[in-house]
Amino acid sequence: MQKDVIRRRRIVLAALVGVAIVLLTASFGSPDSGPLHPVRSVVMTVVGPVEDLANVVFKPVRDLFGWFGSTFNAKDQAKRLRNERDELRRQVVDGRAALAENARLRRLVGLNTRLGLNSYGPVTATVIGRSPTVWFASVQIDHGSSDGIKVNQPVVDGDGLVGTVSAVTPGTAVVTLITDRESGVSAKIIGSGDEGTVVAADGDPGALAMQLLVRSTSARVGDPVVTAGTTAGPLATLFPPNIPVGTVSRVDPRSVEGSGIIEVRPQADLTHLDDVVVLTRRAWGQ
Amino acid sequence: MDSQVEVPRARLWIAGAVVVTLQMALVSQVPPFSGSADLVPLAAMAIGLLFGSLPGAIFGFAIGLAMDFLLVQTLGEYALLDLVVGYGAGRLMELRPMTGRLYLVPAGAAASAVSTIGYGLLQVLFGGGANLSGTVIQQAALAIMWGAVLSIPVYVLVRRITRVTRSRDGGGSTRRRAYATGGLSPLTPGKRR
Repeated sequence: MQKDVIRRRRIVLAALVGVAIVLLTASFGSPDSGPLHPVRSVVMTVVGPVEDLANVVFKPVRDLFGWFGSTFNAKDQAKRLRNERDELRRQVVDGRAALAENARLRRLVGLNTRLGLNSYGPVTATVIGRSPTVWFASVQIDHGSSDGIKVNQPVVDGDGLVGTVSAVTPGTAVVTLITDRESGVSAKIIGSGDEGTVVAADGDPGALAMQLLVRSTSARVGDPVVTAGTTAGPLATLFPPNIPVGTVSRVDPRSVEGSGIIEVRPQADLTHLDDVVVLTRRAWGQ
Repeated sequence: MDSQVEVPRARLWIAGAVVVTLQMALVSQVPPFSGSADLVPLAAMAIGLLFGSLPGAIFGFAIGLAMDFLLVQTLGEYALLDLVVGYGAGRLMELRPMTGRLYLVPAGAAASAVSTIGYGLLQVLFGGGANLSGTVIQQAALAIMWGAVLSIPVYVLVRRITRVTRSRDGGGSTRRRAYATGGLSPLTPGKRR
């Protein structure tokens, strides 16, 4: 009895597999033609209306599922769009930063070209730290002795003179700004031709004062003050000539007569320094 | 077992029609399932588990052939694969009877895997070409996952249509013992010597 069952099962199984393989062989490659096509046509004709009816019956269910699917898709889409928006915002910020950097570097290049600073071995550096006081008397830059930077070398930015290098490590350097108490720059006024020393102004951390060599001057407000570039004598300087230091902001005749001092506004924005150039070589061979 | 379980042929026809209709008109057109979920091998598996290997094989062949006709594809592909699924499920239940419902989850995943992977293999064997890309693998994994998820609902549906009673459902302890021992087990009621 058991053997009969097993035999019957095997026979039926073999027959089914055989039929399947015959069907596969007969219809492979041409499912819509061949000897079995008429049979398929009959089946489709019979089943077609049933299928249409089933489609109509299940349409509300499909729509319900579709609504859920659309909701999930909308959520996914919203999340993707939010991510895209954040990415674009980041790109806009990066782009603006790049534009600003580009403008600064263009100013630096312009100053280099205008004043012929290329012969002074310029090394471009980025400000990476500032003095933690409101006076901003010094800044730290990301280049140091390994880039040829040494103490006392002049530092400029796209607008004008910034200061001098006061300390170096292999990878960084500290720049003392011209507004620092210890700083003094030999300078001259374009126009009147008066010479003197630009120092930090009393009581105003962002301002400069020019101590003239004489007690009278024909300088006027707005006159440019540039480095004198003196190479010898009592005003021998570290700085190349004609680098903008600032502009005359106030000329008080009594102050000039009494102490020979006029007020100067720095040319460079010393509170917002980003990129600076260190002049590592003296063109006159010192 | 085959000789001991009466197969309600008419109800199997109804079960097949319902499953094919559901697959064609609903599951294959609903976004989360479309292109991934396939009720047909799960139904073949359910019949195999409920009635044994031979009814499972015949039902799988018939329902697969119906799908081949309706999908206007090479005849015999689904028929062969669902035949294997139905027969395999039936043999599994005959040789290793299991109780409860949780076994249906891995069984459903296996049925979907046989159907999905087997279809790809047939394509390769018959020179149709099968590009094993990441998308194909992802779709196959998705199909297997849906097989596992839908196995219990499909099983319950098929069992209801065929009206298999609890005593013959799933656990099948009475049937299995009778089949395995020929009713001669000392544990079988009414067979004391």
